[in-house]
Amino acid sequence: MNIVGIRKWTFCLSALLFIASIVTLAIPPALTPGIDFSGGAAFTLSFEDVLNPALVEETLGEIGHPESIVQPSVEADGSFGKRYFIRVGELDQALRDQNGVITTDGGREKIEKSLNALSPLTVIGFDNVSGIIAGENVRNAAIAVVVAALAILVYITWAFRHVPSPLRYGTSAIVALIHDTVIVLGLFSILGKLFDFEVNAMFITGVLTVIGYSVNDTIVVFDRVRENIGKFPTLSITEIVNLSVRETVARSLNTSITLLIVVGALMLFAASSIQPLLFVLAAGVIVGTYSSIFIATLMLVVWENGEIRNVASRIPIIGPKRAA
Amino acid sequence: MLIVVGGSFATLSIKNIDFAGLQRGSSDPLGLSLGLDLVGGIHLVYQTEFEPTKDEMAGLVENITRRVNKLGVSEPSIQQLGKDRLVIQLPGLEDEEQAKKLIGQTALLEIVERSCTANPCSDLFPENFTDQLTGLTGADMSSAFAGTNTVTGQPILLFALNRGAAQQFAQLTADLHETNVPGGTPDQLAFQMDGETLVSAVVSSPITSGSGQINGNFSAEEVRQLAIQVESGRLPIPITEISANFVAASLGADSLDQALEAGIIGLALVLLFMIGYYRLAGLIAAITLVLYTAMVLAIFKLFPITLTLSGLAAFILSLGMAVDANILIFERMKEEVRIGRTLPFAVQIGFNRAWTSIRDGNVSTLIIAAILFFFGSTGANSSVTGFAVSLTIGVLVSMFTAIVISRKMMALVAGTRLGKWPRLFSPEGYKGGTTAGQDA
Repeated sequence: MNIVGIRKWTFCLSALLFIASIVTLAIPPALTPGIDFSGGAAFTLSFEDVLNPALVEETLGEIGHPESIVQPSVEADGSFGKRYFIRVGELDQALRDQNGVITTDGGREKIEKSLNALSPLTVIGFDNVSGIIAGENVRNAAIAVVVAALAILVYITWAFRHVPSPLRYGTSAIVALIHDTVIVLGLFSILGKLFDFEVNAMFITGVLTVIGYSVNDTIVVFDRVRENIGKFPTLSITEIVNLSVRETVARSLNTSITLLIVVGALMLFAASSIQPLLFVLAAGVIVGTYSSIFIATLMLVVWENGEIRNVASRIPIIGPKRAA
Repeated sequence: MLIVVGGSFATLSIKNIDFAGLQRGSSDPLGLSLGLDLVGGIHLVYQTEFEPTKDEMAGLVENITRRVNKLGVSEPSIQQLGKDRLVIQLPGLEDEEQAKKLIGQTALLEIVERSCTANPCSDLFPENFTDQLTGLTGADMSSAFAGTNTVTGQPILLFALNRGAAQQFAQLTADLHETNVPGGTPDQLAFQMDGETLVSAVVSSPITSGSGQINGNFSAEEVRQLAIQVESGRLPIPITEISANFVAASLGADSLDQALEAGIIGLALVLLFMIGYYRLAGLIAAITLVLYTAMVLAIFKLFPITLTLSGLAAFILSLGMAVDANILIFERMKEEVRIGRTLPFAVQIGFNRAWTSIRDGNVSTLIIAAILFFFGSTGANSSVTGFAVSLTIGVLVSMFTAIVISRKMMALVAGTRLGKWPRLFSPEGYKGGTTAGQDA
């Protein structure tokens, strides 16, 4: 198994996925924000009768919520169920008198009253996030991602302080990490455009977990490279890396499989509120396993062999430009 | 090791724990405490309309706590978040409007005349009093603050009324004072907040100047609290709802069932996979994993950590990660067996070599969990925090079980006759012979 030998192909594949992700992210909306980040409200309603989703949408449009997303539950036979998930923009608060009794209906009361006229309903879930909190969430998420990236960079440099040229290991791991994050974001950008897949606070949680996992996976392979360099000083870096990947591939795959098993089980059963998290985790585990072997490790080979200057010309998309 | 494992199961088997002042447990499955998204309930975040002082905020928290307690929710939680926010959690409450109505009320401080109709006229006998509103409210007061009696040095509550109300107050206190005769039934003056008496006192002399004081056997802290309370009724702080989250019990129960189902199926599949691929070693890992599950749940219960849907997801995810440590060790062991080491030796080397990878790999997860914890706790997003806490506990326990429990069990098994059959421990056995040591 000569993994180093196929680096051209894996670099090409990754470059393609990476560029495709950047392109989809460049087309607005880059990601579809959920109420955590945009503000707004979400209802889970249980109606007494089966309703036509178009009618629900029309009713919401009439009372000033044409932007709403209406998702009926689907029964086993494919017909619409009685449970509805409805997502609207920010709602006005109801005004209350001294005794706390509502004097002027807020946006929520208006929606519930007009939908109740279609069919008696019970609110079984309600979520409301104001613009203030949404703005803070966006800021905190950005801070969390930046801090996480820096912390991981510091950690990797520390973890590989004993190998010759630790910076190369650290940088390779970071490249793999950026690779994973961008591809997962790209995937979500497409899912958001096609299926209204929303990005919420749990999504960010998933992205950060994926970053942790990707680094974990890369470290295991690098750890083996580090060990084998000491064990077989006569072997070339290409041989060392081939050997190390061969020795760790079973572990990498088995761990990914077990993680995919549990994430898959959750996806099939768990509630919709954590579905974005699970999707990110599943995608991240797959991309993270791939990148720890084919990106991080092979980049190390390229670097150690001094091929880094030629690397651009090995990628066909960039190659011709450089030649010109 | 046996103590930890045994303790974990014991913790889980007893629903309610009450040991040396440590009370844990609930009626939920295994006595774990479950979050709002699993049992149903209301989570509200309010913000004041202007930036309050510390005392104003403390008064607000007190007022809302008093009202929320009327709802009869078993474990309500009212917490201040930052300088100007309140997080209110009401597990199990179905009537959202009832809660919002109570919380949305404007705090009402009233000055009340409490006529004593029979002896003894003591607070211990509330049935001896009939309360009567005087029409004076917090709006008629100009200040309330804690002070000390210049003569006795005792802490007292000082208060003053607006100029317009001073006349009525003087008349009121004069009337009350007349009942304060030896052998009589002295009427009292009380400050009531939302119908509940904060403080009441007999009138020792009519208050004509519009400002008075309440003496009593108060501690300085009691007087300070009282002043905060009266002030919060004098100048109520308007609040706005900035986030609301309601989950009906039925929806929560659905989520819980689904998550448990996912957890059980996920765990079963992982166990099958481990046993199928790693044979006897896999079986040992499987047993470790079951013990791991018990230990994590026991920790959740003892802390106690409220389990939310995202926390459960993190726990189930950590199951997958716990397997990782075992896989790392087994793969290492297999290699050692393959180059011809005897099994007990391979076990020892496998564990030692795998440890650096396990440690380094898990540290990155722990760093991420710590960052997530801060990301979640600065906002009001409890699901992110729940995820981070569960993940941290999961990772720490997984390191312990893999290194301590798996290792002991492997060493135990490898020392027996079973240890002579490496085939039982790896999918391809090892190259060449059937017993270890011939292939080197």
